[in-house]
Amino acid sequence: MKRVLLLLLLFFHSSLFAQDAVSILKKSEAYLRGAQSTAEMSITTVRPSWERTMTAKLWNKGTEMSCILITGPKRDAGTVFMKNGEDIWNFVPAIKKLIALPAALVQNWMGTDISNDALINAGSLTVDYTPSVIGSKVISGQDCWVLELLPKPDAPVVWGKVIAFIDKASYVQLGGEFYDEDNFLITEMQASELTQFDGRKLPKIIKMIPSEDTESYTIIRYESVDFTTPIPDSFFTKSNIKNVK
Amino acid sequence: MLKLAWRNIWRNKGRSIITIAAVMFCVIFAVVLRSFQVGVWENMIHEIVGNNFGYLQVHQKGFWGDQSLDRSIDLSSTNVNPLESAEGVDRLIPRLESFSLLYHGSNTKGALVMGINPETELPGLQLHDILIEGRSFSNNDSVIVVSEGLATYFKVGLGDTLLFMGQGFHGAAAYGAFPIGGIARMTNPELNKQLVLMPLSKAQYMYNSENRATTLVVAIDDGTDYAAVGDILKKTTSKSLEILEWKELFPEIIQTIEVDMAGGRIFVTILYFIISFVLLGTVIMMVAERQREFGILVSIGMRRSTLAIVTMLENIILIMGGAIVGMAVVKPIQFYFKYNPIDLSGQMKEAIEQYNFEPKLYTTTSFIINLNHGTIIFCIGVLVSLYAVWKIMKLNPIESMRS
Repeated sequence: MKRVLLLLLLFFHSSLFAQDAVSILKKSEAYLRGAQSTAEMSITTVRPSWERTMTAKLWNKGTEMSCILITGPKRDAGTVFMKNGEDIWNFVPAIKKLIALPAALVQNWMGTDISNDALINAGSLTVDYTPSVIGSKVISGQDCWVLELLPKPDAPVVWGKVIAFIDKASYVQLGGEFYDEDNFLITEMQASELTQFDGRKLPKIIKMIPSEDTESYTIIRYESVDFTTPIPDSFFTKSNIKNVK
Repeated sequence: MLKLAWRNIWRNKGRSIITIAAVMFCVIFAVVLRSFQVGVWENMIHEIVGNNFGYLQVHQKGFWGDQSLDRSIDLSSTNVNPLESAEGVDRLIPRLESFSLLYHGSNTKGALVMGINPETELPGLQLHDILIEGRSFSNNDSVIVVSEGLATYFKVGLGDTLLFMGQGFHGAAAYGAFPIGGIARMTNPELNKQLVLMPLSKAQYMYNSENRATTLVVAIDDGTDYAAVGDILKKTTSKSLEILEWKELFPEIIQTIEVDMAGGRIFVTILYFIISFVLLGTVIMMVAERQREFGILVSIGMRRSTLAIVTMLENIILIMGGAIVGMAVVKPIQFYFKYNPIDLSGQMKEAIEQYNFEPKLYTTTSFIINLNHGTIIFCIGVLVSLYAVWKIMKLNPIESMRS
């Protein structure tokens, strides 16, 4: 009887724990995203003897809709990437052409260290991955959960494993590690400078560091985030892509 | 004895002329054969390497191994003046070379994009010479010139717009839309299938590579040896740049030449066997004709060795004459086909174009070939003349006079 109880306890405990990981991740993503959000940011790519800064505007609604517009420099301004459900489009003003992109793009986005996947599927890790808590770690003074995310079978993802560090107090993700299917670390993410944006405390700076090259990295700097202005669903449609401003 | 030999030659003009003619045609055949072989290569190297790629190129170190725009030369921070002013260097020609996916309608095709400044380019890229339609561009224009093959593939003509999708410097998006201003026929068949030429400044903008060039082609002064210029440049260049000769740039051309030359040598060897027997034939004929004469000469007291030397001298004079005449006569032929190459047609043309060669047969005018083959045939001639010597030495005067 004791044994059965123990087994039951173990069973419940582990399932509770798993439940916990999902809710942590969901809470974290919901916190980051809000019901909808509009953000302005600059993206700086740094290479040993060269660097480049782009400015961009990002719209998000729910887990399925997102859109990013490049606002500078001039030669790239007007380029739009849009995701709505399974569809991902890229509008290129230089050739006035709409290009459909595959759901899981391995390449990096516009020469940065941000993968296309991370950008377009940002905030939808719960959709494609099964999380579990594997420990705790203190990151820049904050006690964090360490979540291991493994892709669900048949999920259209590029990573073999993702480790996320989520602040226990604020549910803000402060770090991440992205592994390929052979368990090699490809990219590391570090979030810092927690700042108030429209009533929420969020990292102002996100640094993406590819593991193969120590002198190269990309910094995303949030200039503003707006969680209140509503965005209509029609914004995230193919026909609107040329009018995104 | 020389006088005797000389007189003998003039005594029977017909026979002498036949011998001279035999030697002459042998020389002509051998030289023409080799001239075509060497000439085709010479022309190919000149056309493809000299006029399109240059005998020498300057790159950022490591570019040739990994041809990425990330390894292009920053012209604003790299000092290329010492290279430009080096002895034997006429000018440096900046080019930006990269790849792009071209779109037109629902067709797509990968293409080699070359940003050039036509005013300073090599002869092979002098647009007004290679255009078959349309016009050239200046550095400020925003039209492109596509190769004939691409225009055919996309079924486009002047004024149609091609869309470019590629990756620029450090992964920047490289998109562009350019109208076609001209269609050019490139002498290099491979380039003729996939080359797009655009103004250097436009290519630099599209590939986010302002003030950059992937390649600096070294235009050398006329008549200068590129290898010598290359050595000078290698000494003057900075550490960040590399100077490559065409043999390093295109080792596959050298290999192909070597294989082809080996084949050619086998062919020429076979030709020499045939030539040897032709010459031997004339010598045998000569000896047979003069059996009676030799017999009389020996029986009236001429020493066999003297007779043999005289005959040998005759032959040497005739063969040498034939070889010299042959070498001289073939010269105009060489010149004619150098400037009026044989145009191949039909299947032969297709087969050769597949190997990226121009389907034309040129000759070389290098005199070394004439000299080489003249000498070889002369030696063969002397060798077969020994038959006459051998015949004379074992001559039986009575029998030979009876015959």
